[in-house]
Amino acid sequence: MMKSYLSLAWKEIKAQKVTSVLILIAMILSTTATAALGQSIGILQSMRVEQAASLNGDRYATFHQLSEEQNEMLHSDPRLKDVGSLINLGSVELKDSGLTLYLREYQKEALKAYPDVGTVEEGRLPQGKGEIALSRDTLKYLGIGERVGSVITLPVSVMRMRDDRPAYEYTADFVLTGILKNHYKGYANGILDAAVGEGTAKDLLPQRYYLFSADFKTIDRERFQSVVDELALQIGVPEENIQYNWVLLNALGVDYAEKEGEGEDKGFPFMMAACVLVGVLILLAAGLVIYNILKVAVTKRVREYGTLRAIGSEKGQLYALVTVQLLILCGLGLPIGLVLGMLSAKGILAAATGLLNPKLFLADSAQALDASIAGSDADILPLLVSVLVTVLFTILASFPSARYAARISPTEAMSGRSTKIRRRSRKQKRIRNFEAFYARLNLKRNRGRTVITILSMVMSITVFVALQSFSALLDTSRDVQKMYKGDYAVTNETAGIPPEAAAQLEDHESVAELAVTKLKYYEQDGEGNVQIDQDIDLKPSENLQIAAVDETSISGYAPGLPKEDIEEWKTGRACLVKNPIPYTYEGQEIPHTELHKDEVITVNGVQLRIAGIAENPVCIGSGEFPNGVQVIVTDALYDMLTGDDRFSEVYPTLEEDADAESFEEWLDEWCKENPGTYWLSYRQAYAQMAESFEQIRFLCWGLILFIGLIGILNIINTVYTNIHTRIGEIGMQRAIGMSERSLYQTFLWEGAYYGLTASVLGAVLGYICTVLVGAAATDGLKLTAFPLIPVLEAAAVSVAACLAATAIPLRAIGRMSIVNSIETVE
Amino acid sequence: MHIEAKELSKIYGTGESRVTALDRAGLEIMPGDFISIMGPSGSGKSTLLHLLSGLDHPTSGSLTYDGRDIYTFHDKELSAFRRRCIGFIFQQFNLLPVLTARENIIMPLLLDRKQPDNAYLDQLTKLLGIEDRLTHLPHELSGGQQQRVAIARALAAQPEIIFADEPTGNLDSKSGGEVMDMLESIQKELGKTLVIITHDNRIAGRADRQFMITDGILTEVTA
Repeated sequence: MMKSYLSLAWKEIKAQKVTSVLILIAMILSTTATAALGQSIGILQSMRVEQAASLNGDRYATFHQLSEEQNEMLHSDPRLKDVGSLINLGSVELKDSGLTLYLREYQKEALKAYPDVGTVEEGRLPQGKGEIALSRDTLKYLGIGERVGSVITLPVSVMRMRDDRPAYEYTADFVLTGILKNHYKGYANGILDAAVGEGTAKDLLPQRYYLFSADFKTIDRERFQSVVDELALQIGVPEENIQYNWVLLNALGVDYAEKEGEGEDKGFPFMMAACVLVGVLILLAAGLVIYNILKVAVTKRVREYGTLRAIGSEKGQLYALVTVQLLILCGLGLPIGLVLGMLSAKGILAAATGLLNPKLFLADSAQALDASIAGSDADILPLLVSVLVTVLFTILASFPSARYAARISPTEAMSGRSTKIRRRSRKQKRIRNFEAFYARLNLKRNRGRTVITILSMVMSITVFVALQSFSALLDTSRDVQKMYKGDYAVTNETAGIPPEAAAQLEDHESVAELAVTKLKYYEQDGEGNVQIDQDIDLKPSENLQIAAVDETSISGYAPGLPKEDIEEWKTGRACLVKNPIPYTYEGQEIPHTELHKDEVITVNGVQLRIAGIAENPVCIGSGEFPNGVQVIVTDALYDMLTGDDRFSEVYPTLEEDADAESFEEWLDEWCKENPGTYWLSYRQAYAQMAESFEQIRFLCWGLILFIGLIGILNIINTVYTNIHTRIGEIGMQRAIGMSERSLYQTFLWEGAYYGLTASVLGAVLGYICTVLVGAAATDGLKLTAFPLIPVLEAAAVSVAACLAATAIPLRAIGRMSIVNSIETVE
Repeated sequence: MHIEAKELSKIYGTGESRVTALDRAGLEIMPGDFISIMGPSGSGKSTLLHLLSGLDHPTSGSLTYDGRDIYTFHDKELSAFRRRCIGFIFQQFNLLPVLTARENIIMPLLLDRKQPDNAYLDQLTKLLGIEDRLTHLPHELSGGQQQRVAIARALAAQPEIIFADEPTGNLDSKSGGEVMDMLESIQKELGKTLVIITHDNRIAGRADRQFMITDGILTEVTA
């Protein structure tokens, strides 16, 4: 029985070549896409875990400030694995760089958790007392030659965490045993690492500072948090001494106590969400295409199915006939799509990630990312899921057509009655453009087909607009632009930059503009006084900072500040305040100053209303915020309050066509003339990230074209069907005098209506997606600006695609003989 | 309009599959003539009608309307000629299912970017007895009503010549008789040229001049 179905289904497939090819293409495209997406998600996930481990250490958590005894307890705990200990020997400020060198003694295998720190380029890792390994950059900043075996003297400063005592300072000699590979991950926080040989800490540090930090993983990942809690209680580790490696924990999907607070990891989950959304929409679009094509194929063969029913076929047999046809095509299309998807997954991924910022995947360079992709294997599960989902969608798509075929009445099918059309409005009205009028009516002729065709276009537009929102979320360049005020930061933390030197910089032919920051610290003396007249009740260990920023950047420090407050701030009658960061010590919260909006403070005899509380402090150099009360005012007011008009940091932005290399040479000379001044360039990172955003947009267009292709398949099918089911009508219209041009116009109008309707609906749905994406990112539902440009772009492309898809079958009309058309029995 | 067909031939295929659908047919039609062309199925009568109306091109021979060879017209010119000078009535009615009866009737005018003359339209629809069916869609009309709408459409642009291909072929004898009565009265009252193709002797007998076509050869039947 099955064999006869198979042979009949085969014959049907061969008889309907165009239909079969269209279904096959749709199936291959969707399988390729879902298989590639499924694999990519798998690869990305394993890659991300690997990258997370290399970025922040291959550890789940670290207990800090442990005694030797506590450290031993951790090493012997059966619930833990990969326990590694290190001792912090203190830090060294690297002159004129804004960077700090941290000296750490890694015990036994502990360095294995930090592959980036422990990569030796020359010599070996330190093994015994007094030995040290430093990176090339560190040696450069220290002004020491790169010679293994030389003795290096370092002035080190060490503090306990949240300690109210001054730092313990000492100077020690180290033998350089190895030169480490430079790694830049710590640069963002102003940190460089040095590895010191075992036993050094015991020799150099007093008992009070001889403390261990132990990294570990839990054997049972599911019980991670409860094991940490039990251990902390058992060996007496306060909560503030527990550090969670959120990068790795998030990558692994492990729940931990501080998870809610970590908001920096949204990029990847959104990337995954985008992949899943795109996959679902591709499947929907492909499902609609298959449904549409099959429905049309069945409709075209309604007489045949009627005949089959008349000669005794049962409903179930016709049901099976249509489904078997699709299963045969599945058998052909799925393996092809699967192979293409698997082959292209790594390629697509490498290309896609190559276009994106590697930081998104926690890798520090594109090369590292490529190596990571090449070395990773995706789980077979996502692949299987994508195949199963594709088959399910395909079979589901065939059901309505199979049902329709099974329900065909033999008498109606054989009678060939004229088409019944539903049309509500029949009022006599003036018809100015017959082609447009007729096209509109034709769209209502088969509402189901029209809806499906438009829906597949709507998907493409929705995906496009939604992807634009995703990409905007992933756009790190904008954050960088917000963070930095220019292409360079030129800093002088000691003497400051005199206005005339800044003017010299501003007047340089390559400099387009110069943003500035002024910052002055007033520390408390032993009696709690600061060297400026003020009425703020500063708590011990807090300082007073007066800062000045440009008028244009003020809203960056206090987002959402009302316009009238900004205006008052500009007049110099109001200020912004950044309150000190609260912290606890040995379980007790340390008292801290907390000023509020609209309170009035007096600084150097000037009364200032607090216009707002700043979210971010004004920082210079390494970006540290020495805890205290920061009063942010205008440039002019700063000069008046402090009596100092020198800048702490200036930010030149270069002209677009400027020669950066020669400017940097000039800047080096300029720094020499202004002692204590150093500069950092954001230009490269800036350009790379801006470029990567453009590339993200490009990638979006690639995806939209893929889904658009499926949509176009649908339109071509619909237009072809429209032509073939209306051949007689077309012949009659041509006979009574419709010109070729007029006929073309009718079909082009139909295409344009598809495109325009899809654009409007796609724009609305895309906007809803944008709002939802925004809601997911900010945890709050609010209306965002309408994405007009993406919507217009998508509308233009979809209308053009519709017209192109219509124009292709129109060639067939041009070649059609009027006589043959009239004689065609519909 | 004076129509003159000389040596019109239409041959399909080549070699063994060569079929001569029309063999050197000659015909002259004067303004106001009522001509019938009769013949069995596959004899070539529809081919002749298609060639006479410019829907198809002959393999050889010529056709002139008032001395102008319409086969030399470009598509745009030929479409405009059919729109303005020729009215067609088909056996299958061929009404557009999405348009109302009125919209179907005025379609040739709309294609010509013209608005209908409502007075003429009223007169025509009253004459055909479909004035109360104008807002109906084709599937809501009977076969006879559909063919009357098709006749109205053929006359909407006030052409001089009407070609009717088996206009009663899809109708019962009563409706067929009514349609023929209307066509005949229109031809007489409005002074149109009517060329009708049929295989019904009674209908053919109503024409002023009758032609017979057998195996592609056209001959005039003389009384």
